[in-house]
Amino acid sequence: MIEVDGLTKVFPGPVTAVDGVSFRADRGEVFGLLGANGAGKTTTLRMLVTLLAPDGGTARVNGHDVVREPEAVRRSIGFLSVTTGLYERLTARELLVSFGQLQGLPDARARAERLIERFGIGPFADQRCGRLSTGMKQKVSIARSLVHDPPVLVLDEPTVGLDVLVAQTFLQAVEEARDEGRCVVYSTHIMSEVERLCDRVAIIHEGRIRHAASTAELVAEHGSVEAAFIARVTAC
Amino acid sequence: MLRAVLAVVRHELRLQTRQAQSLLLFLTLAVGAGPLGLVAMDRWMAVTEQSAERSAKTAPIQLSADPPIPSWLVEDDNLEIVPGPVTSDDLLEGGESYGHARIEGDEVVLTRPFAVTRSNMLEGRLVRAVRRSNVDRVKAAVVASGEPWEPPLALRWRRETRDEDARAGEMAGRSLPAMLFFLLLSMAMYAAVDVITKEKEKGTAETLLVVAIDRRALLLGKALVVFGLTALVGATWVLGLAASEGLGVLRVPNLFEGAVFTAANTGVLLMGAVLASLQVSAAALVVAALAPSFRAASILSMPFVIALMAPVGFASVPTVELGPSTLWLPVSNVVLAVRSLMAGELTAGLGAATLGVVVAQTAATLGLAGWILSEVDPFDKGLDAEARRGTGDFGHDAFVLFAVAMLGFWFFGTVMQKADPVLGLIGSLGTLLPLAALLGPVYVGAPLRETLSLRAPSGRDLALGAAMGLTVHGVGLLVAAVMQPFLQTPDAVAQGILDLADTPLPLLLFAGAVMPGVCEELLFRGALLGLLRSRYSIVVSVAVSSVMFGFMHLDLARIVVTAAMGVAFGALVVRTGSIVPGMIAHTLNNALFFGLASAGVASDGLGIGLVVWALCATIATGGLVSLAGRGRPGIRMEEGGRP
Repeated sequence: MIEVDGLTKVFPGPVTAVDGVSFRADRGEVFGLLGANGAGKTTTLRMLVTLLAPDGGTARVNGHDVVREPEAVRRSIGFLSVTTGLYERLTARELLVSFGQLQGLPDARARAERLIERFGIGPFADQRCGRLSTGMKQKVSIARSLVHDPPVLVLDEPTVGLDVLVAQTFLQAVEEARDEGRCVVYSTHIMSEVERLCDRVAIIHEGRIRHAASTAELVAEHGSVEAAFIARVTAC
Repeated sequence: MLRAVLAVVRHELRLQTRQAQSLLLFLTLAVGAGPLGLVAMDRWMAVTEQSAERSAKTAPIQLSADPPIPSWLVEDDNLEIVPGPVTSDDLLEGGESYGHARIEGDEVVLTRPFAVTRSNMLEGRLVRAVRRSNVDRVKAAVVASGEPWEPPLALRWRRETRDEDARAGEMAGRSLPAMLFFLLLSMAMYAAVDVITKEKEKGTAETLLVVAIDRRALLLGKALVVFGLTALVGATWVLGLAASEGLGVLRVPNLFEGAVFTAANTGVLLMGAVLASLQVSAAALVVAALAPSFRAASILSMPFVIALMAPVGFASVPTVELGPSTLWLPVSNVVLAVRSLMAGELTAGLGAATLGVVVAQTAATLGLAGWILSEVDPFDKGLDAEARRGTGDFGHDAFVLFAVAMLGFWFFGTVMQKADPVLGLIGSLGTLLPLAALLGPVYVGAPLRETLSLRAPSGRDLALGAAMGLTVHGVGLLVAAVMQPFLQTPDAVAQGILDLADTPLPLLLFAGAVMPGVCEELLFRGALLGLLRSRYSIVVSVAVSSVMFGFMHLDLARIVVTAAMGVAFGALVVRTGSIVPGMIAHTLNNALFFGLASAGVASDGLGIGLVVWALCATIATGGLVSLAGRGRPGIRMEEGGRP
């Protein structure tokens, strides 16, 4: 579903933010990208969702190349990050309808209503997004990322700044997405989330994948994901 | 593609209608700005006329008897003169105060503007007025009139009085496009920043850019909304003016005698507003694409507004017409086309060509915006003010401060000086420039004392300032003498100098030397140089602040000389770490200018003495410069840093 091969990004400076990153993620799987701040997680995912152009390597999402077929890639993905914003002037309902229409859905309103019901947005669906709490916003955000029913979800540190209860609801939604057969790429530096959600994990440090294995293998080898992470990063 | 564009338009309109108060504000402005602007212009003209009347009351001027006629009164066919007393009024004609003239019957009619330069100032007014004229023709005219040809000679000039309707039409041609463009620019910038820059700032760009939609459709949809809103405001402005005139609300006696907003003219102006909206919207999208935040957009918008208003000003010059050469100038072409159409002079071919060029230019500009959006990293916060505050980098803020300060100074300064030349000069220099110099750094959060180089100078620093003042003036006179055949001061500046010439010397020195010396230094070598140095090297900072100083003087002849002076004063601040020596040098330079002029010492008359003066002062200054920084470690600023 996602095939990344030798992906590289060099920013002016020059700073090599991502250096030959390769990984695969499949349908019905949560693939974790684990790394400290500045490790290259966000840049990798931004290339994957066509927000940034790679300087080297290739990436395919749902069979589409991110450089040659960006529109087809975008049709296949739902993207959510800690920095993705909501239009504060629109209500939650208007926002979902608007994005449905932008995605070219013929039944954007009906789709919005289904998502409102599924994520429990109803009580605040007609409030402007600018007045919603962080948890409410995150519910609207994940509904927004699923509005066009994408087979792939790319989530970049989505629980940063959320309180524990809201984060739990969010993680539950990710599990549901996986159970529906979606491929989820999940970047984080929170070890407990990795242990709970991810089937496989790639540890990224200073722009390079240092280790890739299943979560179960990591825990078996080092006792915990955290111990595995520290061991792999300090070994660099 | 069309479906995608329409989806984007619907999305953007949904967003825009959620901030109805902002749109209402713009539409209200559009209705009110036209009539209000015209009333303001009318007041301006009334003040100008009062100023001319006051000048007319000054005493007649006599030509000096010794020497009777300077030797440089050489070939010129355009001047003929009749005898009689000369008053300042004879030398004033709105913005075209001095001119070559031809004789018609018993009147002398000005035919083209005269240039007044630094050295002319030293010769006395009348000599300025007859400079470049043919002395033989002057003499022949006097003799032919039956007057004896012997000094003291008094000459009478008569002003050319233009037809009132032509004057109103010209004023309309100059003022309406400028006001319309300013309004359109404001709206286009506001809308473009909202649909592009704020998306980046608020993080919604990230959300929108991962939507399965063609990027070109995204840009086109946004551009259509910006264009639509801008054109709506422009059309409201034109219709508001037409309605005001139709209802008799608009009564501006100084500007328009007859009806301007006839049905045909209103139609032409509406079309012009639509075309202009296309151009400014595309340009505003380029700025919005470059800016990562609202603050960054505000930094970039100032040079953008100036860059687009300059062609409006150019196209408002009466002698400039639409043709194969001017057709290609963005913005100017629309203004000129509107003027030609209103005058009924635009041919179908030229009209079609203009339309084609405007559409092509808009498409190219939009293409540029698209390219920037695809090339510029949307997550780069390099221009973001909040990010820079922590790093102490205020280099970009210097450009905004300069633009804001100069717009204010040029506009309000001119109004104040029209009301009273001397007090206006003191008032505008004494309030506008220090306010900008103090509020600018405070607003951006730069440390005031360091930025303005507010440090008590040593005695050596003060001596250096005085020596630099002497040097700058001597060298300045030399440069002015060399440049005089090529570049001459335009009338508006000459007018300003003339207005000061009747002032008592102490007041003249205060207005023309002390105030500029203190206040201009505070802004240019204080705030602007200080802000620039937080980002750029010393050489670049001094150079840029000097060019800014040159541009404040608004004419080519003085830009070069004053920019060079700026370098000297800037070096002084860098060398001594204090703003005070620069103030002394600047004050002394200006005082010498006015002092020598009042004493009647002509620069031409200094001859070799001028060269000796410049050389001696330069050597003395060089010696002091080499001493100035010694024995005070830590005072001098380091390269690219703060004191």
